[in-house]
Amino acid sequence: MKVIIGQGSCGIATGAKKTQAEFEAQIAAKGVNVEIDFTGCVGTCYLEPIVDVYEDNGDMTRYVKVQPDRVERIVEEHLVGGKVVEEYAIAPEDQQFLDKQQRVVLRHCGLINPEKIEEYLAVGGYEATQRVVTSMTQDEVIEEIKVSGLRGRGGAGFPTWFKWNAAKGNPGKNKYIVCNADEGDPGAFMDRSVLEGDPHSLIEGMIIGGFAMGATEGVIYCRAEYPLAIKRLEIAMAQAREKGFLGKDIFGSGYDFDLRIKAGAGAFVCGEETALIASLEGERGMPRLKPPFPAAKGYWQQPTNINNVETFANVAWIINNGGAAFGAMGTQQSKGTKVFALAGKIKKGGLVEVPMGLALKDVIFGIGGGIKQDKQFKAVQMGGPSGGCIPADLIETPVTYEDINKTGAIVGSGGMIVMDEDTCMVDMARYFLDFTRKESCGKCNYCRIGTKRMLEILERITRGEGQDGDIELLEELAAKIKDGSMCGLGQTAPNPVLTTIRYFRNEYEDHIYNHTCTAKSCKELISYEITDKCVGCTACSRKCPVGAISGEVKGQHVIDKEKCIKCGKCLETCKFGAIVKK
Amino acid sequence: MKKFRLNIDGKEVLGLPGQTILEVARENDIFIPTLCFDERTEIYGSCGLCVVEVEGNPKLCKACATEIAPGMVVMTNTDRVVESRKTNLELLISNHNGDCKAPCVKACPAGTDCQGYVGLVANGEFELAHELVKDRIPLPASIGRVCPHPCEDACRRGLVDEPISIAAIKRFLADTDMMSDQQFIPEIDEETGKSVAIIGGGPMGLSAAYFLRQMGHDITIFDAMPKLGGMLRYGIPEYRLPKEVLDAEIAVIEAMGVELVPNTKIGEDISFETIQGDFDAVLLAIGAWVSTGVGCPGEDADGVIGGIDFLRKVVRNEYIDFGEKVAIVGGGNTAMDACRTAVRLGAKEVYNIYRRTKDEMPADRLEIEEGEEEGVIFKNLTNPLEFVKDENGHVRQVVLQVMELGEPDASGRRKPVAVEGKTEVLDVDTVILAIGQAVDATPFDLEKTKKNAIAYDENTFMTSIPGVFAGGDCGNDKISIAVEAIADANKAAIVIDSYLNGEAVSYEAPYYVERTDVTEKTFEDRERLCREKADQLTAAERKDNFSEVVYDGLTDEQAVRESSRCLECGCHDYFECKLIDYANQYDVEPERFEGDKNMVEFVDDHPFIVRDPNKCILCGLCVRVCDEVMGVGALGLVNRGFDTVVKPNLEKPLAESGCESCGQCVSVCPVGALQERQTVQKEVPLETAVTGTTCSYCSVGCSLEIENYGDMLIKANPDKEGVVNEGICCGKGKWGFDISVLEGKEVDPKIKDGEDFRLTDYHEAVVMVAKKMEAVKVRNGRDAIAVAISDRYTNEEMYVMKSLAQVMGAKVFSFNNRQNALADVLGVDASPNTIDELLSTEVILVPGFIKKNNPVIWNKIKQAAKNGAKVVVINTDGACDAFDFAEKMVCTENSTAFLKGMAKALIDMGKTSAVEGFDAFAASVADVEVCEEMKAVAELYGNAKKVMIVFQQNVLSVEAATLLADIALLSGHIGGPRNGILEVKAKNNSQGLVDLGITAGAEALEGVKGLLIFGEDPAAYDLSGLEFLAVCDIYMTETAAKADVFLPGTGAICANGTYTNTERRLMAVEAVVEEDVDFNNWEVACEIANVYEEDFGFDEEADISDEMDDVLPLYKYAEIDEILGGVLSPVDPKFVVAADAKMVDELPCADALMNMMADRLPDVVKATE
Repeated sequence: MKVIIGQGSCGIATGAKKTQAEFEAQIAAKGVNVEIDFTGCVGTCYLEPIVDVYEDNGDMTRYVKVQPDRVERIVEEHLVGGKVVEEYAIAPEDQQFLDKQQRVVLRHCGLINPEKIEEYLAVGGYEATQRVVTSMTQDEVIEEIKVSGLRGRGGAGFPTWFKWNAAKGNPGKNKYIVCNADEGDPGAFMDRSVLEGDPHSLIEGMIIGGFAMGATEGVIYCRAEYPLAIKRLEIAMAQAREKGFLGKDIFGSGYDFDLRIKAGAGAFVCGEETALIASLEGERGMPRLKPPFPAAKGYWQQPTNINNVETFANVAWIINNGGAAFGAMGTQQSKGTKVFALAGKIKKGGLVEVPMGLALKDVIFGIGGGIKQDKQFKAVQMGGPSGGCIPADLIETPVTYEDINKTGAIVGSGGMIVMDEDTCMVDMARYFLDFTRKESCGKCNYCRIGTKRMLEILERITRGEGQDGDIELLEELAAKIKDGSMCGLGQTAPNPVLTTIRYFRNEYEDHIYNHTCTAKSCKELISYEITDKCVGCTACSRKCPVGAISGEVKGQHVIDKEKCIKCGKCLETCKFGAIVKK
Repeated sequence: MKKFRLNIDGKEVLGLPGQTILEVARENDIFIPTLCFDERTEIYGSCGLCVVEVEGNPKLCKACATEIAPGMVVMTNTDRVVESRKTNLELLISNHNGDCKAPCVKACPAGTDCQGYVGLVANGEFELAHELVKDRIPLPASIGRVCPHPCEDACRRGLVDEPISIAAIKRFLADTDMMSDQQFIPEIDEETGKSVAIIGGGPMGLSAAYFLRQMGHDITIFDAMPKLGGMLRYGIPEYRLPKEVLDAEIAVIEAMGVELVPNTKIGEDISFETIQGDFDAVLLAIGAWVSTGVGCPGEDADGVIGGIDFLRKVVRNEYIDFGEKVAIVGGGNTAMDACRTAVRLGAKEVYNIYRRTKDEMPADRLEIEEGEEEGVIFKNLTNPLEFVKDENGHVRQVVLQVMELGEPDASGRRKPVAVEGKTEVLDVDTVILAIGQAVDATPFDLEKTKKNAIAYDENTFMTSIPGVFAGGDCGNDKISIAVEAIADANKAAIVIDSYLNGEAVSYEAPYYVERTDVTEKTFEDRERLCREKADQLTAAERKDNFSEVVYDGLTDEQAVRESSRCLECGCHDYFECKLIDYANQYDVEPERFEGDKNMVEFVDDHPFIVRDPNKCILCGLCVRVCDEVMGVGALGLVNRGFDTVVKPNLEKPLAESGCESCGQCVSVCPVGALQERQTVQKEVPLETAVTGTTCSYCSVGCSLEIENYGDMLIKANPDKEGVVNEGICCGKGKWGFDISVLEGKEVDPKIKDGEDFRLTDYHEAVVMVAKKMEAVKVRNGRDAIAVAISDRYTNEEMYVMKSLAQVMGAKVFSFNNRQNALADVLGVDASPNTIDELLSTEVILVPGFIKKNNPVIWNKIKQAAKNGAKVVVINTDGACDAFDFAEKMVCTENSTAFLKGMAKALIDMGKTSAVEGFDAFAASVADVEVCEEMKAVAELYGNAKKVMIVFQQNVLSVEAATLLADIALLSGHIGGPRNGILEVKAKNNSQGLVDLGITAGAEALEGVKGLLIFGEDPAAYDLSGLEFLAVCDIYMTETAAKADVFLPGTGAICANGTYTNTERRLMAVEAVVEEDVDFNNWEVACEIANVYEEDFGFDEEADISDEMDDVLPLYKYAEIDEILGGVLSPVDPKFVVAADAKMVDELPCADALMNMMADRLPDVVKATE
């Protein structure tokens, strides 16, 4: 028997290490012969810590939310007694979360131990690499990728084969293949999951890509905020090097290729290719004008190809299963699968990998289980700060690059932040703009000052100080910022504002002209009142941090609106529904 | 290469593949604005101002970065482009914290450059200041006396102590000019043949005449009164504005050729139609000469008269019987004038009736105070209800309604409200109503305003009749102060001029950025200094007469002291700021983006560079020029997004950031975020004149553009078209241009008297030089006298000095001359190769090069490395650094051993030569031990096809230089293009000195007993054995202090002529200013020669060059900016054996100016954690 504990960052954050210690202690105490191992994240982050118990016959039982206090029963009843603790096992509807997915990128995540190359080899690891370097030409590899229809998963969705081919075709002393592992969108963690759960599939993708374009050196630009990912990558690279999969004369093919990691300091803009290259070269991470594109003049002015983690993680699968098999998934234009990070007001948050073309509804409701507390679904923000809001009435939109773009949002790196009726769309736009304007590198005037001014306008709207003409000013600035910015950050920064104006203009107008926030979320525009349901229990007045509530015991309480800081503590506290937000 | 054809703005143009749209547009004079572009740096593309539309491309393209393509159609001025640029500029300005113009300038209706002229006065430049005043104010003596000076109300000095006395300074300047022998009369443009009739000779009419006349138009002023001056004459009492002052100012306008026709009333003496028919344009400036009443009963009584009528009668000495008690109604300046005039006329009781309190009175505070001193009784908070007549219909009493102050009204002043039922009665003999004025425009049949004044378009000043303009008090119901009328005159003149030229321009007020964060706290650190006050009559002295109250105005010293209090609010870079230029071109309205400004605290610590990051627009030019062009990298961008800021390395003070003080960041800054710290007393933003000349420090020959304003030297910038420096220079050129006019400069000849000098005249001084030198010669023989000439002079100056030496029979040398090894080995006494050859050679050998001596050459070496040249630096301890781009850095002892080893290695490689002396040379290095490094360098050098050696003549020892010449000769790397030696001379004209045949160095001092030194300070040499020493220099140098006779010299800033740079390129030197010294350098030489009865016959520099052309064949066909001859081939070369010596052995520089500059430039401090 074998106990495998999920130890991605999400598992560790919920206490997987303590769970493991408890298992070790209990198993030792009970004296059972059980091997303990760990794996990466399986995607159901909301259920961590997850513990899989494998019978010797291969049957597996998945326990969820295994805090140390649940360990003793599992050991005693299951490991010793052989009886599954049904109470702790994954519920069928949660299992569905996984079953409804189609996993290519995440194929090994949560299944293998990322720190053991043997486990990766056991599932067919490095076979693709071997095939490529020993029996395929560069063009054949590129052709296979072309057939697969794989497009860059970092956001822009540019055909991968085209970039490889361009880098291959451009002359240069050295060529470089770079992995962008600088996952920066708030709420996106698909790359981290691969890095932590299946680092070898990234390494394999890079070797194959490097071979195809003729690079001998690869760099993984990984954000320093991912220490576990860096650690597991380093282990994986060392193991691969030891096995001869990296370094000189890979598989005796004569092809030399090696990798190194560069830890980035976490600037969002370094996700932009040219800024990433500047950062790699030790310069300030600032984009430069394109052309020349990195495929012609990139790292140290040499032909350079940059793909993100998810893109590379598909490559070995494509070689193993054939481009056509990959292309058979998804739609005509958007092939294969895509990993999404479901977050926000959703019941089941986590990573899901689905074939492209699935309707948003199927992802959010079918897999994600719908909205928390069964509230009204309002919109989903796709593509992070560069993306946009898709409103409820477009929920049937298929998740493809083309269809999502039509809504004004983008697939992006795959973030899906779900919003319910309590989310103020103006405030939401303000949040994302605040993010991008802080992360602007400061080079282009429009991006540096324009986003700041847009933010100021949004702030005054959410304060109820919006002026007639503000919406038009936002639209004007947005258009000019998109037009006048050099890189993707500035060109897309206004998207959340534009899409919310497009779909929720009435909310903007409510703020500006009626001084009301439809979602009752903007503090300056709401007030709390105590209705006659009040029984005078005094609970709210005791909780109020500023002493704004007064009233006799068993008498009607009142809120002093001058003093009230609108923290909402009273509303949470009242058991009689006597407090209302207006 | 085949050119691409493209179309820009409808114009067919050609461009080379690889060129950008911006480059092609500029070549074709098509304007595209840029803020972050500089051709010397990598394309950056941040400002986004250069956007254009390209047909077929849905996006806007950045012209700086978009390469042209065949058939491209580019539009640089579409609505979309203009909109994008405009919004872009508005965003930039919304975060640009500065004052384009000082508050005083903006407050002046006429836009007078108050800060400018006040600053010029602080610098003692009275004439220039007066001219600047007269640019906007044609009647400064009058206005300086009577203007209520809104400028002073706005002056920020008021936040510290008291505002600057701007009006008094203006009066001081005008009075000084009036008192001078030659009054300033502006230049008149060529006659246009167009004529303008101006009706009304008040401030508006006179000023318009003054401006329009300057533009070359024929001007006639018609005035109804016997004399011109309008209200200045007939509305302002003598004690405030003596009429002789006004007469003098009008006389200047008359002297400009303006015809004055007084005593001529339109509609009576001449019809308006006749005037319209006789002139090309007419300007109505008839003022407002009708007193308005208060509208209460009894106003028609005898003894009730209008304020301006009263004042006019007094001026015209008309009889007024006003009894003993006079009441003046009104709170303005006219009311005060009437009050104080009444006092002077002997009224026993003078009352002022005003419905609010003194605080609300519109009159000048000083007028009220002085009126009070003179005995005026203020009946504030009263308002006439009725004028009671006596039986003869003469006014007897005034019934006054008592008032109190209520709520503030639209003007912000508290509104007077009647106190119900409370009245007061005042016995009076005369009532003067100084309530207001109205216009009498009856003779003119054109559109009128509601109040019957003349109506005109406020931007074009045109009335309803085309070609008839109006302004000042007579139009649009805006009766105001004189300076407002002058402002109208200025604007109307621009419009009328354009009308006469057949154009239709309307006046547009310029946009200025304004600081919003100034409070008393801003100036906390300023010393409190009270304003200077001119003497004035006491109340007792003045109250019975019309003598001018302020009788003399400020003294010179007071004016300078007062002006020095100016806080210099307006941006010093206003006249060169690209941002404000574009802002006005694109009619920005940045208010719509008002929001937070990114305010940065910073240390302003650099001795030459003034930083103000709050004006920075983050174009990144400073950072990029510092890094990419100058290779220093002292500046960088810190933080992200809106908070991004340019900061010195590691956030240190700039002086400790590795900054080399080259000032190139300042030169490229498009706004005022980086400025020069000037040496003038008070820095003043001025529209400077620019003179192109050549730097007078090292031998590179950088072309500089020097800016001056009159005699004031303002700044220097490298010339982008500079043939050698191509837009860069080092700190010496950037900051050292005014070195000859700094404090301590000597301006008089002196003779040693005991231990000290005494002043003398030129005659005694030059006679003493000649006679003493003669005496030394008589005593010690011909070889005992010598003339030492600095290598900093122009060729022309040196030529005359050398000629003098010949006349004296003295030998000539320069302490700064080091024996040239190249002359010994290669037979050429000049650098065989030129600077730009470095850029295309394969290998560059750089022994012992000191960057700070010639940073621009260092820069060329760096560029060469970037182009692919392999740079090999032979480094001795402390002799060189900053070559991190080098292919190879050899660290060696400071000896010739490495070079000898290299020579040996070359011979070992099989290099040999048939040239004379080879065997001896080979033998001299035969025993040298050759290490691997020597071999490697020898191979790199020996095997390259093209290779250059760069060395500094006065840095390397003669032995080292000899070896380098031997090595070049041995390997055959000499005499070919990009294949040879660049010898860098010590000084700007070291080569010129050699070309004049002056090659001797300090060794020539041997046996000399009498020495005349021009411009050298050989502090390292013992001159105690001299019997006589004369020195001509700019400062009292260490050597000059030892002289028996001292003659003041002049600097390069006032020299005309040429330098010959280190590569024998003839560089033009142009005088920028005149120095305060009677004789310039060559004239001093001529004066001494005169004692020898030798007249060189030179009146100006051109005469010297003419003679030089005849005497020196080399210079005869020389052209400015061209090289004299090309690559020099060896002439009768021979190998010379070099003794063992140091490799680097610097000759101390004998030029005091160079040494002064080296001291002034701060040491480079590398930033460390």
